[in-house]
Amino acid sequence: MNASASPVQPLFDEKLIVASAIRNERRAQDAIYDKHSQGVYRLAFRMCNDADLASDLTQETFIRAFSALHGFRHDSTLATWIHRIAVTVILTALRTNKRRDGRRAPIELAGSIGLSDHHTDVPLRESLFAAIDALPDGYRTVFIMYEIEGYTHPEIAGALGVSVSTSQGQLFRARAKLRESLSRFAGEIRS
Amino acid sequence: MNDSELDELLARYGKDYNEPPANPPLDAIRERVNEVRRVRRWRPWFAGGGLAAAAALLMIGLLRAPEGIPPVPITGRIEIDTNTLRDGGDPRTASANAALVSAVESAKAAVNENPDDPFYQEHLAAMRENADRFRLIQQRLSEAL
Repeated sequence: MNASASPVQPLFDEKLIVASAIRNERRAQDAIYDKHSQGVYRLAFRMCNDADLASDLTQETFIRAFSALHGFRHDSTLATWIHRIAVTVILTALRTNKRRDGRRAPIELAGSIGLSDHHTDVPLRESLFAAIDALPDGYRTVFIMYEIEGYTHPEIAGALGVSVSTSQGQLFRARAKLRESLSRFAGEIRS
Repeated sequence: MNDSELDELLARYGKDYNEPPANPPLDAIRERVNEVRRVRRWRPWFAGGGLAAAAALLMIGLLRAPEGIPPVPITGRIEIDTNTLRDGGDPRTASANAALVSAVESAKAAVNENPDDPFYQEHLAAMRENADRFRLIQQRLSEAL
């Protein structure tokens, strides 16, 4: 995953590290955590906008990952596998936890924010954020991973357990919703 | 709004959306992960140890009980006797009464031998309570029969 900004390790190294981590070798577990925790935390924070919740979700992701590591078959990269756990943990928490920030509002309202004063960039920015907040969680996850965190579609597909075309379709629909909800700002973006 | 305008908007503000802190508390999270995993790893041992301790205490209790005091209180005999009733027998048997009297008498003797030990006092009280309940059941059964 490019969000962790570290080069992809050769597969045999990953297998060795995973095997060592399964044997409860602390250094190997630390290596896995060091490599992937930043990306998981960033994704969790982008999704929930809550530092405490992002910490909890990162913690839960790695507890689950280390507990289930013996079942990791190297069918995908470790990064993809860990991110799949992370996305599951995050989406489950978002469904059951209403700690999303106060910006969350119906998508219909996104275009009306700051209408009286949108000659400045502040309402435009806030409208964009409100529109992203208002996306359904599935769209929002793909949108954040691709457009903001810079994941590729194959990486997103692996993390979400969907096909690449599904990931692309989700992104297309997310962007369409954003264009629609921000339509009042058409023609003013470059001014 | 068209696609290129959205791209421009995202290029300008996208990175600001729910921007994570520059220094997330990853070390603190790692410690919590390790702590939770450590506790969970030992939990089965603690549970096993607890069971072993309970078994040991039970054995000690049985060994401490003087001969003649049944380890299972008289409620066990009540069950046996209601089973007898269900099978067509009479619960008001001499053997049931004898066992009841024997259990209470044994408990009394144990109290006399260990006057300072509350364990035997409690045991005797339990025996008497069970005997009373048993006699009450016998009485109601007699009325019903």
